[in-house]
Amino acid sequence: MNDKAETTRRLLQLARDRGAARQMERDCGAGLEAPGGFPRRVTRAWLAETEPPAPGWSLSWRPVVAALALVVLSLGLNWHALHVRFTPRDLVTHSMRQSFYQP
Amino acid sequence: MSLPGDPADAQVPGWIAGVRAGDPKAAEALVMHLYPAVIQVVRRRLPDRLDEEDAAQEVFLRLFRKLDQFRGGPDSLVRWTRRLAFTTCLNLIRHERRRPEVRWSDLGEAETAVLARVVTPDWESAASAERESARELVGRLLAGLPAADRWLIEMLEIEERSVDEVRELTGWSGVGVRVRAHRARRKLQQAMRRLMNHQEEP
Repeated sequence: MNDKAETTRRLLQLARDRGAARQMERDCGAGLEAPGGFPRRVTRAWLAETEPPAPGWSLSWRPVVAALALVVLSLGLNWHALHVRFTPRDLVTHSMRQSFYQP
Repeated sequence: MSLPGDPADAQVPGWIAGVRAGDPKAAEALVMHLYPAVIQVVRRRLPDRLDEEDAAQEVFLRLFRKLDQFRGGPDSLVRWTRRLAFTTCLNLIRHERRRPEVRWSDLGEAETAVLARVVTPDWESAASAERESARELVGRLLAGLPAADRWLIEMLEIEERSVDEVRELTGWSGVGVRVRAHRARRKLQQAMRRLMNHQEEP
């Protein structure tokens, strides 16, 4: 027989297990009680989810961006002071002035 | 689980109202009342490696979030909860890594014997051991299918549930169940075709 659909159908029919499936389902749920602490754990998780955020420390994106901008600006100014303000030419001028004033 | 005439049913509307008002005692009572219905679905559908209590907690959290949408009595609450448990389980394993397809060389003696049996004219007279092997083989073939397809085949073909029963548990329409089941059977047939082609190769 080459018909794979028929093979599959027959295999499924052999695998059929109505009673065991029903029994397993009954065993899964019958007479079961929620384990101790479970209802409270679920309720706590639910209440924590529904509670409004506590006032005070609410870190929104604006202050974070502002702080980051300040850090970048300060680093930039430092870099400028170190690398741009004192160019080699400035340094030469400075040493010339120093030598001029020296006796 | 709630049975018709269950004395707890009379308290259910009060618990629902309490949960809607944010009362923790009502929430705990509702969890205890619905736990068997939830755990039944979770244990039946989720693989062993997933923690059933975590899954059950996820079901209840979804239930509390959606309770405002519920419009029904105590009986329909259990049905609604089971449906919610089913869809939660489906979401939890939607992205699971499926097992690779079954190859002929992976089959044991009993499984090859049952495949030899199904192509004979007296295939229906298979012994119980052969039927057990058929179940194992079908289980291995189903493991390569997405969870929704796997569960549909299990419910409709193995457990012989009616389309109405499946519709009630899944929340899909009758047509949706039939269409999905048709596609799932096609996928199973393809898996079977690949398996049998290996056998027929020289």
